[in-house]
Amino acid sequence: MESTSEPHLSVRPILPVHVVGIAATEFVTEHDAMLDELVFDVVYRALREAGLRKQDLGLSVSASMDVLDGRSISSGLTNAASGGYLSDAFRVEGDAGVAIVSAAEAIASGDVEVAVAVGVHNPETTGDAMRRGRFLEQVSNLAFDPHFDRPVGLTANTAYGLHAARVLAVSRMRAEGFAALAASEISRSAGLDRSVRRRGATAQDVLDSVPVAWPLHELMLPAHSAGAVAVVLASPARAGRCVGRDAKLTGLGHSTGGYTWTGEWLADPGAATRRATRAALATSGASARDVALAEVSAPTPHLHQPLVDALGIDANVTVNPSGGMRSNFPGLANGGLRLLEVVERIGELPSGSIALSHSLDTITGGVAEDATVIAVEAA
Amino acid sequence: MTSPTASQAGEAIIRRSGSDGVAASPSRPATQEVNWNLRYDIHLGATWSRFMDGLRQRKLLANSCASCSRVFVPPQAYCESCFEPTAEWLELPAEGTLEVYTVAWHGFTGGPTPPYAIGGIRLDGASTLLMHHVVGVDFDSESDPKDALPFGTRVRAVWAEERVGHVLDISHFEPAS
Ligand SMILES: [Zn+2]
Repeated sequence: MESTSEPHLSVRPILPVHVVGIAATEFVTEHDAMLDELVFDVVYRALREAGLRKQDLGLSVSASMDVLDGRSISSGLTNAASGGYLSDAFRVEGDAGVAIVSAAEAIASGDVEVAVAVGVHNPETTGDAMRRGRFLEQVSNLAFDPHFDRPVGLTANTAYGLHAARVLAVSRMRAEGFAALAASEISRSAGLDRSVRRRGATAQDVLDSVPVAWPLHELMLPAHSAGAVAVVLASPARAGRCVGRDAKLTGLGHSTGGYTWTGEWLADPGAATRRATRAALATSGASARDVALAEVSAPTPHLHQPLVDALGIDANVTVNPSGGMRSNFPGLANGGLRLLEVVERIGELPSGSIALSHSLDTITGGVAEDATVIAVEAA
Repeated sequence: MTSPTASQAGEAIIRRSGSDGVAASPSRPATQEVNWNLRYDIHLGATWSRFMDGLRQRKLLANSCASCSRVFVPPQAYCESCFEPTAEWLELPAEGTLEVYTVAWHGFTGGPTPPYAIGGIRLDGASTLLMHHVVGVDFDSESDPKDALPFGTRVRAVWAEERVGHVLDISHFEPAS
C-alpha cells in the first residue's frame, strides 16, 4: 500500500509547561483497590510533592476506559479523586498520554495555571495471568468493529502477530534477532523498582516462552501491570513558586491512525507516531538532533525500529533505559509511566538536549492507534 | 497501595503488596461478579447493508473513491484520506492474495476456538485488506507455518451453506489451487 503524503501541520511554538509533581502507585498484576482509591492516592501525593492543594487545580484530566473499569462513565467515580469535585474535570477514554497533552495544552493556552493528568488501569477481573489475559483480549475484540473484524476474532495480540509475521517475511532480521531485542530490554530492567519482570531473560528464553500469536511469544509482548500515575503541571510563573520536579514539557504532539482495511498499520506502523513527533518538535522549536533520550512504547520488538524511525532519532540516543513496555506496561496509565521514566532521568542529559516520551493506546493493537509524543527538557 | 475492603459477609480482607513492588500476598482480593448483558441491534447504514445483501447472494461488492481511485472492501461511505463521498460500486471476484496471517494460540471469552488463523486478504481489484479466517495453516507450533502456506498464496472465499447477510457468510478463505 502506498503511503499517503505527510499532511500539512498547523502548529506554533508553545510556552513551556512545568512538571511540578508526579506520583505512581506500585505496579502489580492486580490491585486490591477501588479505582478512585488508586486515583486519589497518586493525585494526593503528586500535589503534596509540588506543595499544592486540591484548591489550586484549575483542571483535572483522567484517562481510563469504561469497558475495563466495569462501570458506565467510570469517571463519575474517579472525578472527585482526581480533584475534580466542584472544579473542572474531564476524562479521556484512552491512554494517559492524551490526558497529559490535554492538561498541558490548557496551561500552555493560558486557560489554567495548574492542572493534573492521571491515568488509572486496574482491569476489573481477578485471577491468574491466563484468565486476565483472556479478559483483556475479549475487551480488545470488543473494540474492533462489530460487523467485520470482531466476528473473525481480531484482538490486540493477533493484530501485533499479523504485523510481526509481515516484518519477519520482509526484513533481514530473523526471529532470534527480535527475541534478543526483547531479552535485552527485560534483562536491562530486571533490577529496577518499577519493572514487573524481575528476572533477566536470554533470547532463547524469549523463544521458549508461551506462543501467543505466531510469531509472537509471551516475553515479546508488553509486561502487563495495574497501577495509576498522576502528573501535576503548572505554568512557568506558578512553577516558580512550587517545590517538586525540575522538568518542563516544551513540545506536545498527538495523532490517530487509520483502521484495518488501509493496511497502514502493517506497512507503515509508525505513521501516527511520526505525525505526533512532527507536532511535538514543531511546538518545542527543537529538532530531532537535540534528542538525547527517548522512552519508546513499542508493544513488540518488531515495532521497535519502525517507531524509533518515526521518532526520527539516531543511534546516539539512549532508548528505553527503563526497559520500555517489556519491563512494565500499566495499560492506559502507560503515558504517565513513560513520562515518569523520562522526568527521573532528565537531570542526567547534556545541557540543551531534550528527551521524548512516546506512548500509544493498545486497545486494538497497532490498528487505529492513538500516539502521543511529548518533548521534555530540564527546567 | 494497600487497601482494606470488606467482603459481603462483612469480614475484612486485607491484601498487602510486597515492598519490592510485586504482589506478595497469597490471599485472593475481594471482588463481586458483575455482568453487562446488553443486547445491541447495531445499525449497518446503507453502504454496509448493500455489502451484506451481496454476501447473501455470494457476491463481494466494493466501492471506490473518485479522487484517489482506491477500491474499498469493506466498502466505505466516504474516503477517509480524500474526505470525499465514495462513488462507484463494483463486484469483485471472490479470489485474491493472502498477504499475511497469524495464528492465535489462545482464545478469549466468546471468541473462536483456538488455534485459529486470521489473514489479511487483498481481493483481486481491491486496494484494501479484508480480514478473515484462513484454512490450510499447519498448527504445529514447532514449524514455520509459512512452509505449508506461504504469504502471497492465492486464496478464494468458501461460502457458508446458510447465508444471512453477515461477514461469516464467507465461512473462510482457502488456497485456490
Ligand atoms: Zn480517496
